[in-house]
Amino acid sequence: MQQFNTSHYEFGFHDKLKPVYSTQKGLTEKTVREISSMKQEPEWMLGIRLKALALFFSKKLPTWGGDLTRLNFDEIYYYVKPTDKQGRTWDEVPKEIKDTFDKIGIPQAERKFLAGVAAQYDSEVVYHSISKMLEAKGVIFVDTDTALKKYPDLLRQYFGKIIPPADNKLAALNTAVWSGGSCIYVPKNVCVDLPLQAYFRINAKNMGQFERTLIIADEGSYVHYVEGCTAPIFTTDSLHSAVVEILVKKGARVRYTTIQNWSKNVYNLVTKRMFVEEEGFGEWIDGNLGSQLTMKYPSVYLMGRKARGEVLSLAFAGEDQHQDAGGKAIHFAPETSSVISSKSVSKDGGRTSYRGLLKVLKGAENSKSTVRCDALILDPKSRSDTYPTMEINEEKVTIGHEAAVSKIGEDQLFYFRSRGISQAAAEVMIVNGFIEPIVRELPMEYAVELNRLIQLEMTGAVG
Amino acid sequence: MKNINITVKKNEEKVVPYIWINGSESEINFDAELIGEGANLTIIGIFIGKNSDSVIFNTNVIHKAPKTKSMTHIRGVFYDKSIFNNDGMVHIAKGAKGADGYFASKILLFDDAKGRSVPSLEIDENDLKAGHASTVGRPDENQLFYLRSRGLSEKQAEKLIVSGFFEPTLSMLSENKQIEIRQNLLKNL
Repeated sequence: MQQFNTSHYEFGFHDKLKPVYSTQKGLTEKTVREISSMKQEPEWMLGIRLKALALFFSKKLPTWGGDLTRLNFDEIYYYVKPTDKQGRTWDEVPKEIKDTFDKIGIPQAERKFLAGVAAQYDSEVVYHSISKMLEAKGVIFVDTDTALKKYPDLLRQYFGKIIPPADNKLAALNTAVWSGGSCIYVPKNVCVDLPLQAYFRINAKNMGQFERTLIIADEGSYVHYVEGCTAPIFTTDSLHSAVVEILVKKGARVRYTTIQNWSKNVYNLVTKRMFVEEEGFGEWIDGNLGSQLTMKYPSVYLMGRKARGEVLSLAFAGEDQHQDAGGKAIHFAPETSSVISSKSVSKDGGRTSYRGLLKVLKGAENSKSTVRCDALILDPKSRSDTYPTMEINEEKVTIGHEAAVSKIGEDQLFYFRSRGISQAAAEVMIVNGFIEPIVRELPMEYAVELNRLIQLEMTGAVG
Repeated sequence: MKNINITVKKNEEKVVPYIWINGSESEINFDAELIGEGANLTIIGIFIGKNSDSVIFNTNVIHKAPKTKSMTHIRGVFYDKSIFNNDGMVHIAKGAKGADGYFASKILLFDDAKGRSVPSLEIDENDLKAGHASTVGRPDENQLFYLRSRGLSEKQAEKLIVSGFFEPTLSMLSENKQIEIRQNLLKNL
């Protein structure tokens, strides 16, 4: 098979953009106060940040999962602000940033056509446009910093309610130093037809990115949020630690799609959680390709009768990469159902781990859950693990879990080769076929991008 | 606590049943190593928990040699306030080419019983087959309905389904063992 040259990273360019303001390296109470005052935040938010900081110092890093020993919290910039003010129209957005978007390849037509494009460049959203259609429907789609200024009541009501800072060390860290991210509110019975998208990238050396996303879908509404990210190569370790909180109210539906392709020195440690109320439907579609270590387990908490949750997880680990991903479903109410599907591919010494939790509380009668994980290992150097936990405290349930690990089937390869297709091309096709059930759930342009990325990872060339 | 260590050598075939009915052991650890080429191991666990029984059953199967095969089959029925904890690890070490490891657990819960299951896989080799499947639930409503429509009471129907539930695993054991376990099961359902 053609060897993939690891120094080749398609999105490994680095703009020379001078940050207008950044905090000192390292984390102290002073840093947090500085961030808060730079952003002219209300006193209560500073209070939340400081409390979270204390929790961050008191909590320990997880000892399970990936190796976090090389992560040095003192070597990270916690806040970098690239431009002075928010770009309201496309013309106001600085040229370097526009260039970056060109390199990522957001199509021209898409920029105008999309319902709203929130592009996160460094720690802050620099460009944000909301179409008239969304405004007319009463949908709020802004970056979280703006939301704090314009809709303080909304944030006060929901911020940190789904993922409290005490949840884990990294959630506490994010709460203390968060910056940027998206805030979405969809009013009752409003259906947002187009996916809302956010492109963002880390672009200052040694810089952490701590965005905070909050999505509230009111009763009977629908929204699909898409985030995709590419980042340039750095020489020292970077940290990306986001928190995503979603509330799916009665009868609403939220779909959250992520394609993560951080460069291979980034620690990607993300907490994502959804509360789903009665008859609501929450979905996570999570693709992890980049980073040196990803630890991410999107979870659905099924709080109301007949709530549904789905997690589709895709992981690809190449040389020196560890993708520790999975999903969690917790059934609190009767007649709830959940599906977790995971597909992982490891190659060139990469390691993929599925880690999941399925929990049914007493009283969640007639709940159903299916967990399915499949793993492909492409060579003898690579590794794949499966660690699912199931805790069932209710008798009237139907729970199933299945996992399978294998290499590419000899018979499949033989078939391709007998048709004159080279081994390398056949392997790409088999891997693409293996992940297809997840890829087909993506919006078209992401599906194309993902297939392209897989091909690139597999053979080092596209086309 | 009871520790059971099993080593399976070259071309050796072992079937190890563990039956827990009215048992007293609260924690059982199975550590199995398949060290020779072509070693073949089948672990069978049969459990009936009642009242406030609490059982921890851990299996740890390591494939260290090529073409080794392991199957772990666990079936458990739990009533009242009984609790079942089950960790099942299948580890395929580097060099165990052509290994085939499988873990399956099926658990039926009644009343206030609780079940926890962690079937894990750790794979360091790419020429292999490994998998696990776990289900937790109660007897199928359709099956119950069918039996009741034939005039059986709910209790009778349940008992019949539960005794049938163990059959696929029992058939892997020797004839004498099967008879012994069936009698034991009937007494305790």
